Amino acid sequence: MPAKTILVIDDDPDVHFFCKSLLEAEGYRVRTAISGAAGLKAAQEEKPDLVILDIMMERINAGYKVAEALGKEMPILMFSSMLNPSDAVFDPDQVPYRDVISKPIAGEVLLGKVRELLGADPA
Amino acid sequence: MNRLRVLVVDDEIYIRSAIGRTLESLQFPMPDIDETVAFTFEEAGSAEEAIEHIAKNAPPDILLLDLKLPGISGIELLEQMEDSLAETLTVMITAYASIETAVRATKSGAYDFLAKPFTPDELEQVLQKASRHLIVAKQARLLAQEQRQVRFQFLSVLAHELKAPLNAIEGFLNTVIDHTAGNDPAVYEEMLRRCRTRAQYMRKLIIDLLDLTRIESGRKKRNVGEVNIAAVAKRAADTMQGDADARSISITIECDPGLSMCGDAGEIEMVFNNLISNAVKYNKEGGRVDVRCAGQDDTVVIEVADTGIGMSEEEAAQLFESFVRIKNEKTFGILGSGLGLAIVKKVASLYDGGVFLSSVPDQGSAFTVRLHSMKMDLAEGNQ
Repeated sequence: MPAKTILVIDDDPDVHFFCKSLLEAEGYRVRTAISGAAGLKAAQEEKPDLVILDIMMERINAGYKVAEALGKEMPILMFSSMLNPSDAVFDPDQVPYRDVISKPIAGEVLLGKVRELLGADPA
Repeated sequence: MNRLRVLVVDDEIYIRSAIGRTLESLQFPMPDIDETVAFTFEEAGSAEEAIEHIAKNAPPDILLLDLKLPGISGIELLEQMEDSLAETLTVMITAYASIETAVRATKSGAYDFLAKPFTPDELEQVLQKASRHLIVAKQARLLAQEQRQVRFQFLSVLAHELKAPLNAIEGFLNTVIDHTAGNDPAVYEEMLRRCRTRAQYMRKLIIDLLDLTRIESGRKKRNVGEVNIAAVAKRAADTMQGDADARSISITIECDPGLSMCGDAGEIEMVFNNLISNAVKYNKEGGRVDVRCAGQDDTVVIEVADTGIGMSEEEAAQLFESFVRIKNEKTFGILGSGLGLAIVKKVASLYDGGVFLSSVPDQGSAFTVRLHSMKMDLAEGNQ
């Protein structure tokens, strides 16, 4: 069985490197996109098993628009750099994300949430 | 036209109607504060009626209030309504203004007095003074509000710009310490290298921020003297030489070695530093940066042209604002404070000059800065 694919959409190249390092070491296949538009295109092409998406791209809450456009086809994990994580709680009926992780990202938390959403096996 | 509401509270109807007639046709042009004031007349025959009127119609801008009223007196009205009249200017109308009543009325918020009997001229003078006071206070309030808003926005963006590198650094350090990225030591080394780069750019952001706010506040101490432009250009180019060499970018300077102007060497160096640094950062591998300086009379024109990624017209239009960084596939991964061009523009304005940009996507950009030499006598006064 091929490895599960995770698409990381974030405008910070260090976040790409961070997620790639951690998730590839676990055996996942990682794809990256630098903007909401590029992310939507990549999601259509790659049909990833999970999308990781930054809320604060380009402009405030632009990530939510991307999540809305992605619909409920795949689970979405949000990154938030708001100081208070509870500020990032939106109506799950409107935005089909599954979980929010606050930046700075703790590796164990990221891996834990990914396993929760995709199952323990990376393939 | 600013129409101010005037509520006249007097038990004598002929006084009310006389004031009403004066107000009807009264207008004060105030060209110095860009306003013309006219009035709307409202009236009440007693304090009780006035209280009801204010509750129903909101507090007036100006309250012309008779001191001696049947029932509740003028001063009692002021004391009772202190909170709702906080932004109203009150002018007391009184036939027998003793020092004590004046003090008590002023304590309760009266702004001015009008002694009975008064002529239309006296009424107009009092109203003109009061309305000017009101308009100026209103303008100051709006300005302060605007400034708070601008400061809030600036700080929000700044907080975001500082949080992003901190988040990256902390995330990487957590991973290195907790060893959560597998067993390849090269990955951890790369994470530490990235931490260092982000920390360096954070410092650059703080330095740029201090430069910008110092210039904006006018608090920066200026060391004004004769500045050799060729030498400053050379220094700035040397600073960027390492980054340029790493990507095989050549930097050329075309400048009369004797070209000089009167100014602050540090400020002029900021212009060169920021423009050359951008020209290298946003260039292509193997590209060129051409710096050309020319002078005529008291004007120095600096041009920094690159063979880099260029930008669209929409992108160029917002480029000189603080923290605006163009984000697209071509700029992805290029770090910067987002303040460099805002600094260049500020410095140019200190020299009665300006910054001009021409850019073609994928071919390159050319920034032209025009600076006027400072007058030596003015420079001495500035030091």
